[in-house]
This record gives sequence, structure tokens and C-alpha cells, in this order.
Amino acid sequence: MTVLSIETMRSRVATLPAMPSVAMELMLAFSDEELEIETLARKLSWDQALVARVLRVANSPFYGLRRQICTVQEAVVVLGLSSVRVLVTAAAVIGQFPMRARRDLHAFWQHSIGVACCAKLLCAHVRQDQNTAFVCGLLHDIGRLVLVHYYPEQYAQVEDYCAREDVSRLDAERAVLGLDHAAIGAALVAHWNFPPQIQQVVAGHHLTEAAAPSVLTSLTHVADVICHALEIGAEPIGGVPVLSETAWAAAKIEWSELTSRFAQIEAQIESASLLID
Amino acid sequence: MDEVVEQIRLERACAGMVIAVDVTDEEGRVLLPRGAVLRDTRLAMLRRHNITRLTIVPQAQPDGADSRMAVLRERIGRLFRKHGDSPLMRRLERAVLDYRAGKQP
Repeated sequence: MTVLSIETMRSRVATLPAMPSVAMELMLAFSDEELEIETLARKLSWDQALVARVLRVANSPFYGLRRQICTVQEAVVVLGLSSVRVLVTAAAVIGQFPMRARRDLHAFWQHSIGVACCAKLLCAHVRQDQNTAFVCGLLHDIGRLVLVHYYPEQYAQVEDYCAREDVSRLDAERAVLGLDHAAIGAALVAHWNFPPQIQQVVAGHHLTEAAAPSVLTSLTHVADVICHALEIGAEPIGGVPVLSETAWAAAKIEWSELTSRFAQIEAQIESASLLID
Repeated sequence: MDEVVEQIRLERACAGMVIAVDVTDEEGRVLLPRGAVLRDTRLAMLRRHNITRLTIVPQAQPDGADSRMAVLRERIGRLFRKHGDSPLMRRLERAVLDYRAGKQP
């Protein structure tokens, strides 16, 4: 067992680059309807990689636009400010970890985007902010990327343990490292100054704590289980994680509408996946 | 009766195949036991250990709707293999199976 302490992880995380400031401004201003489109476009123009990612999704078949969108201003007019805000935040988060030529990272982001789209779709029933739900889904497993990038040898041991023992990554991380990706993710999200409610979701999305989860945590948990069940992105090692009855009840989903939801989720993921390089 | 097996190169292996002979590393440690089902993560693990060849149980060629349904049921059943006693998970499994079956007529 290679034990990593949470203090060591917090110190490591504190050395990671901050989020691009424009993305953070947008994230913190999700409820600010007065945000000037021109201001947004000007700030974004400093980060062309970010703009390119956003425009790629805006021009995807999912939105079914008749003409090509070439600027952030056009994207805001056609898709609406809130969609563009969430796309910028997503593009910025994904850009924090270089993709390299790793198929497993592609699968990681496929799953995270899947959970983001799913959480966003599910939150319509429960009066939660769709953009916040999307970001929670996108960030829920982000701690795993810290391990994959900065502790590759230790994480290879975790992967071996998973494959050998047929257990989930969460259980393998706890057994091999003595801590899990949820705790590391919460530290990273705090370092990036995401709001406390999002930090809580990242820390608690496996619902292993005794405390009652927030609605957003429950939604993210349900979305995570659904995406594993649909085999979206990374293969669910150790099988689909168990769905918490409390979280399922909080999400207020009718069984009768679940299969049509599956189709919606898969359609949205297809276009949102263009955020990945 | 002799068991029919097939030796393949690792790059031809894919998720769902069943290992026919223990896969061991250079020191003889078992990486995957006979009977284990390949998954993407297990393939990645074998690549990390520089395994180049595997002996697998030859896969049956599915034909017709019944076989396709059986393959689907087996694949989804494997995903939910740990939740036989949870009514909620059984119901979710059923929903996924119905969805996949409807999607692949």
C-alpha cells in the first residue's frame, strides 16, 4: 500500500494552475443576467483555444443551426448567454489537464461530460440551476485526474488492484492509497475557487457519508450511476455503482420516462463531447 | 474432451472475450486468471505489463434476434453483476436492457 495523505494532496493541488479568470468570472456570475456580451467576448478573446472549443460545440449538429457561428457574440445571440457561459466553463476545466494521446483520458472526459449532461437534464424536475448541475457533473471525478497526472505509478497500482480484485476505483483507491479521488477533487475545486455547494458535490457524490446529501449531490450521484449503466466513457470497473435510494427519491425521476431520458442524454453527450480535443 | 481455445495477439483482444489460460507476468504472477472476462481496464493493465499474446475461449457468432438479445442480456448483466439483491438496481438494469433492445432492432 502506498499511502498518500490528504495534507500532501492539498499541498500538491495548491501548486496547480488556477482556472482562467474569465471562466471563473462566468462561473460565479451564472445568475448575473446583466453581464455584457461585449465584455464577455473581449475577455474571451484572450484565450483563443477556449473560444475554438466553444464554437466547435455551438456548430455541432445538436443545435441544428443553419449557418456557421464564427464569433462568441453570435454564439450568445443564437444559443443564449447561459449556454455559452457553461460551455466556456467546461472548455476551461477540460483545458486544465493536457489530453496527450491517452485514450483513457478521453474516456474519462466522455464520462464526465455524460454525467454533466445527465445532471443538467435531470435537474429540470427539482428546481436546481441547470448550469451548476452541469458543472457538478463535469467536475465530480476531477480528483482522479490529479492522481493520473501527478501520481501515475501509484495510480497504476490502483488500476491493477481494480482489475485483479474486481472492485470499484473508489474502493481500490482507498485500499491502495488510503484516500480517494472525491477528497482530492474537493481540494482541487476549492483551490479553483468553485462555490462551496460544488465542492460539497465533488466530495460527496459517492454518498458514502452519513450526512444527508444536498439535492445537487443526489442528482450528480444518480447521473453518475446512469452514465455507468449506459457505459458512457470509462468502463465501470467493478460494475455499475449502487444507486442510493435516498438520492433516487430526491431526483424525482419517473421510471416511465427513464428510457426516453436515456436517448436525450446520449444525444446531448454526442455534441458536448466536441469540447474534448 | 479437449477444450477449444484460440491464441490471439493482444491488439486483437477486446472487451467481452474470456481468458482460457491464466495470464502471467515474467515472474509467473497471475495477472488475470482463466475464466476472467476482458474489459477495457484489464486490457490496459495487460498492455502495461507488456503482455503480447493471450489465449481466449473462441467467441460464438451470434445469429438472429434471440442471440443478439442473449448477448445484450449477458453484457448488461455483467455490468449489474453485484446488485442481484437490490430491487432498485434490478429495475435500472431492466430499463437499460429495454432501451438497448429497442435501440438495436
